[in-house]
Amino acid sequence: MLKDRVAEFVSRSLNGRRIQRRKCKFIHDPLWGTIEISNLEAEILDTPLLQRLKQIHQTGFVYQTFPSARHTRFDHTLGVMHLAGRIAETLGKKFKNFADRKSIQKVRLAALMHDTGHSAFSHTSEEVYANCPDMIEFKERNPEFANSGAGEILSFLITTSDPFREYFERIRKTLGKENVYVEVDDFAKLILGKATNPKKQFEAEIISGPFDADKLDYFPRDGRSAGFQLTLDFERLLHCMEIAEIDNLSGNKTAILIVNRGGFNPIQQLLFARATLFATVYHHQKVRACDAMVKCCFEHFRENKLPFRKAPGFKDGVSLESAADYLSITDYDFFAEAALHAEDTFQHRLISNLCQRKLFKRVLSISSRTIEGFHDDKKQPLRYRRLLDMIELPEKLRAMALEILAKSGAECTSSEVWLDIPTTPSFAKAGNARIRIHPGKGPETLMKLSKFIPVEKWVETYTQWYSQCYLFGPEDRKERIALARAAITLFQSRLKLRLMKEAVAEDIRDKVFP
Amino acid sequence: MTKEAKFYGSELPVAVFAHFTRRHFKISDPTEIVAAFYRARKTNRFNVFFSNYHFDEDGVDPRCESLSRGLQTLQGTMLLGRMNPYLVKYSISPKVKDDYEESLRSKVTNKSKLRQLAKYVQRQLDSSEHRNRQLAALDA
Repeated sequence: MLKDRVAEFVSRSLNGRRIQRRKCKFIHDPLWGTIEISNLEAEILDTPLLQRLKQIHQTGFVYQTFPSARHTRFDHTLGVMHLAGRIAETLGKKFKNFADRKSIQKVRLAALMHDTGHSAFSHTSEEVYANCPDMIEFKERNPEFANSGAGEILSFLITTSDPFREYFERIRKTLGKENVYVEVDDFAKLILGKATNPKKQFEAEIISGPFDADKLDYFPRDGRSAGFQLTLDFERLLHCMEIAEIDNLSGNKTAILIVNRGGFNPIQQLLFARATLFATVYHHQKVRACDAMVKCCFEHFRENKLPFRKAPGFKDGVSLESAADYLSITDYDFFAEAALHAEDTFQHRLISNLCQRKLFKRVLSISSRTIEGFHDDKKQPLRYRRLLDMIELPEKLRAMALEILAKSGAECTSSEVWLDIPTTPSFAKAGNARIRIHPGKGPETLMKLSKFIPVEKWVETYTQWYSQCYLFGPEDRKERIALARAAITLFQSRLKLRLMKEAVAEDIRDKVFP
Repeated sequence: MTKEAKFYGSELPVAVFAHFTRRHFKISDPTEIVAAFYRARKTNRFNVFFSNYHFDEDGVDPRCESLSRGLQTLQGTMLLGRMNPYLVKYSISPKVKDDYEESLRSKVTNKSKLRQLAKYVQRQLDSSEHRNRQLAALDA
């Protein structure tokens, strides 16, 4: 079972670990300056559970396109913990009845643990282990996790595992109740964006909400590392954050995180940063090609039951059958797999190509701009919808890619053909942020941000003008021409989707559409 | 229980919107649409259509990732939009009907149940609109 496999991993990571009575730490962060780490946090931070995040790039292979984007999940985790703590502290000063020292410790610990479930290349491998049978089964058996990402689920399972609970109790015994005043169950659910105290929804929103500490850290951090001058006035936003009491879905009062009118501008900056980063960085076609190659590599290991040999602590390698197996792999192990085994196998060639930036090449780009008559023919948008929906069924998407390969007669391997549908950034959550319009007049003056900022227009504009699906193939030109021809025919016959000449990669366009 | 084909992604909203008798709703954001579906789900009368849509009800607003993604897909393909001059109305494209006829109708076994679901969701959106009007009047 997934839970047991995760517990095994945690047990291995914490095995024989001694708790030291230490003072607090100070870490300098390029984005937020000096970050103070309490003795409790330092005990967790120094475990392999957190230290491994130093070996996982925050934005996966983005650095192959934006070379300076080499920051790690560890840097981000520290930033999120710092911001979560600052938000809770600020709220505590203004709303003493709601945010107390317990709230501060809860959100800081949740932030510290929120990314521990990540594997190599962050969200890229997440798409692979999300489809592991035990992860699928876990979600089916526990529908309350249905809306959580696979990485979030692993982080939650790590935090609630028996070995971690035992370790946390040992820290409490060593440091005393004056330093540790929360239980694991007080903060574990916050990782999933769910409140542990139904009266304090704001604690969950600090970790996962319209303007949570996670976004407030990763937008400026990713933007800065990729070389984009994005503005986010965090201090102003913090100044404008407040708490309001409204009814939750069960009809009980709960305290939620809101901003007053002065917070409009920083929230707009956040939305703008989101759109910019998705359009230019996360969805850059070369970044998507790298992602496709990483996924292809992991799938190849899994489908062929090949052990991933360089996972530390595994003499015979790790099988990658369980989602928990991915916890044993970081970016470094991925590279080591290729570097230390010189034999000429498909997977090692693939990793080596990734390192040398010999990437999959674009065969087709499918978007509203490359579909014939998208804006005039009333049927074409409907057919495009059907293609976009396939993101919900990855096995169907994979089957389509394989069908394209079979029909093309190309001689490349099945792993080299990828149909890629990127997830559209969710702006809707931001639009749901509550704004207090007339300060001091009570909850009836709360309005949703989408009333004042056309968030929905951003969604429509992004999806229509920036979002693109790709068909990737091998470098060989002849094979890509064959794949393009087969794909165009298949899209037309299966989905009745007609693609324009512009959909085909420029270097093969004339051969596909003579 | 009748064996019903499973909807996924934007299929559920397409199937429901195709049966609406109105095409425009004055609602503030898609959470109100998600909430309308959530209330329909809560009645337990339409469970057959919701097997791939799970709602979180921990917070202030119901949350369903696959439904939200589906609604975004509809916005991206111009089947649902807020691109009207005043950004106050959601419009459902008439093409949604064609879409349902072409790709989903044959999949649905219990068509009358689906019609009932559409009626229920539409009623929920009507009440949201009504509430919004009242709030706007109070605000004024």
